[in-house]
Amino acid sequence: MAHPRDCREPPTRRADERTASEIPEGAVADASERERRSVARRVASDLLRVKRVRASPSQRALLREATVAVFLAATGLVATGLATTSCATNEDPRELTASKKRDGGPEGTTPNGAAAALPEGAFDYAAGVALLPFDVRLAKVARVAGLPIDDPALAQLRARRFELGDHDFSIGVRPDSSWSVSRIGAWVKALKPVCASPVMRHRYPSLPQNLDAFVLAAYGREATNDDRAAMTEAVSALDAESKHELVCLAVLSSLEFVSR
Amino acid sequence: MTGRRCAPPAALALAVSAAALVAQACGGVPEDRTNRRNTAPVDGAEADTTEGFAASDVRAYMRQLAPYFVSRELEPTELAKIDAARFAAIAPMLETWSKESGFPRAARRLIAQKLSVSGNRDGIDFDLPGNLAEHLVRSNLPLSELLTADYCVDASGSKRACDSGAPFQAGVLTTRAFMVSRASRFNLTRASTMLDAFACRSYPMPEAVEPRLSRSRLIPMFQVDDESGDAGLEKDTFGNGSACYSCHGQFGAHAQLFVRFDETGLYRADATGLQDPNGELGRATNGLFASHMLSADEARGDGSQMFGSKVRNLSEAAKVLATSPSFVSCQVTNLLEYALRLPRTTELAPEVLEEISASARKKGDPTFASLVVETFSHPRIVAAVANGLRGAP
Repeated sequence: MAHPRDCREPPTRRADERTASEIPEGAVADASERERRSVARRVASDLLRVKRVRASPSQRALLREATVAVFLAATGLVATGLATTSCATNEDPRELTASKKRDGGPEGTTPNGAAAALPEGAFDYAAGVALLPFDVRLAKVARVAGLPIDDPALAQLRARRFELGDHDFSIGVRPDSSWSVSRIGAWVKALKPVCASPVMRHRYPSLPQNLDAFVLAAYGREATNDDRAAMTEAVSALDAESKHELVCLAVLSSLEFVSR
Repeated sequence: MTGRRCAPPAALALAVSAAALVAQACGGVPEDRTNRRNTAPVDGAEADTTEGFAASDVRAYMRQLAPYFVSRELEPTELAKIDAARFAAIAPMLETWSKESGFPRAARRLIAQKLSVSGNRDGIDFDLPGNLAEHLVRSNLPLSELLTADYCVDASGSKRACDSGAPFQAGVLTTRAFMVSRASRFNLTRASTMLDAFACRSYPMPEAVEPRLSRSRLIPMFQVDDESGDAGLEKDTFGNGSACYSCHGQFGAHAQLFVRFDETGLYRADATGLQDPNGELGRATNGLFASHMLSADEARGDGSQMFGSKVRNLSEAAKVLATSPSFVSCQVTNLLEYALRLPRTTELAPEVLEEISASARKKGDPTFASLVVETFSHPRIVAAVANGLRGAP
């Protein structure tokens, strides 16, 4: 890729971030101080995680690259060499936003050894990025691709619903909103028939040339220059067929598409 | 409103989103926009807090909601409406969403997750609660019918008889799905889930909300607490400590409503509510669960109390619950948790919940749609979320 990134780079705290202890007094009403702080930490814990995925361009780039690397592994395109400058394919992209030092240093430290000033409990990534409910993701894929929900192209997604986080409480399967490497891989594989479907091809004949329309449908917003640049760079070395597939998989597997 | 500037910098993100919801003195309106107004009253009148929302804020806000309510992203026409009308676009758009085919599924999703019910097993249809929720939305019926419907709904959306065999009905509460998924000793989980999901309350509650049963009506283990010595009882530290009566004085009333439903969710008129002498504590014989009540007559009965009102059975209790002030505000809370992924521990400003509930009640018993519209078009909700989402792509 044109801009290889050191995946071991620990995330830096944005200048405009605050810890839970910095949340203004009075932010949480009618609670004891201890409870208030506890609530604030929990809120910060949950919500800062979302923000870190959404708000920081550098972190988004990291996640995008990690995700692309997983696509490459899942789609067999790793042989093209595109993955060599991306994050390791076995690296959980969620961890790219974790506070732990990734070069062997103790957790909670920066490369300089300084303690990371992060909210207590804010980086428990057990709940990490939260996927949209499975049926919502399925409906979104169908809509973007222009397929009915029962179309054969979606059969793999439907068949792997539990692997992809769906629930059936009657048999003890709870919703699982985690976005693990294995789940990304399963999602990507299940998406391949969708990306290859004639309807999809008709709707978006050439990707990334039709990226604007695709992004608008998939994300509900206009494509940005960053979107275009990142995608064009990522697939520049591929043939047209591979480009189409990879762009399709990348967008429909991106955090922006599968999570909120 | 005091006008105190406690609205957070944008960077505090969603952590402050929640804080903005609970900040009593501030409107939660972002302060870093020079064209935004303070929410302090001006000459006794509330300032308009809605003009300051930028189109980008509203876009981010509606993008957050769309997948959860209509299982899709925003359409170009919707983006254009937002750009043109900003905050004013929100309520009409939510109204439009409420008529989409995907909207009722949001209600199903919410109730299925709240009660942990879905699927089919052992001949029990765990989708009945979700079916009912979806039916209420499709038919534009009050959400309170989740608790008061005297029918169930099958997978095709048609009404059908419910499955517990009880001679009374209480919406989702009298489905086997609810009964089985929440079966536990003394019926504690059934009672606590009912209170949590539909009143957003937990034990112990203020005495004013639910007066405790008198100690003498309860089995001895639930009579004790720190003050039990005052009643001539031996102090005890059984179970979770020394305050059994504090919670079980109220638990007992609600758990009694379920005493005739066995662990498979079937109604058993022959239930005794008495502890199985050879069984685990809290279990009666034949797959039933023990009552809190001391007297054999009370222990086997359907009757009890709900929020201080005497009721003959679970159906009447559910009606009290559905018409209580806490029902609507609790459903608002549930909506916020569902669509914003707010932690259950987030404290929401009571006046915001009250404003939303009052608005929703203006047109009668609130529906799921009216609650969604009123909740997610409230300026403080919008501000709180938009604050946190700023910076999203």
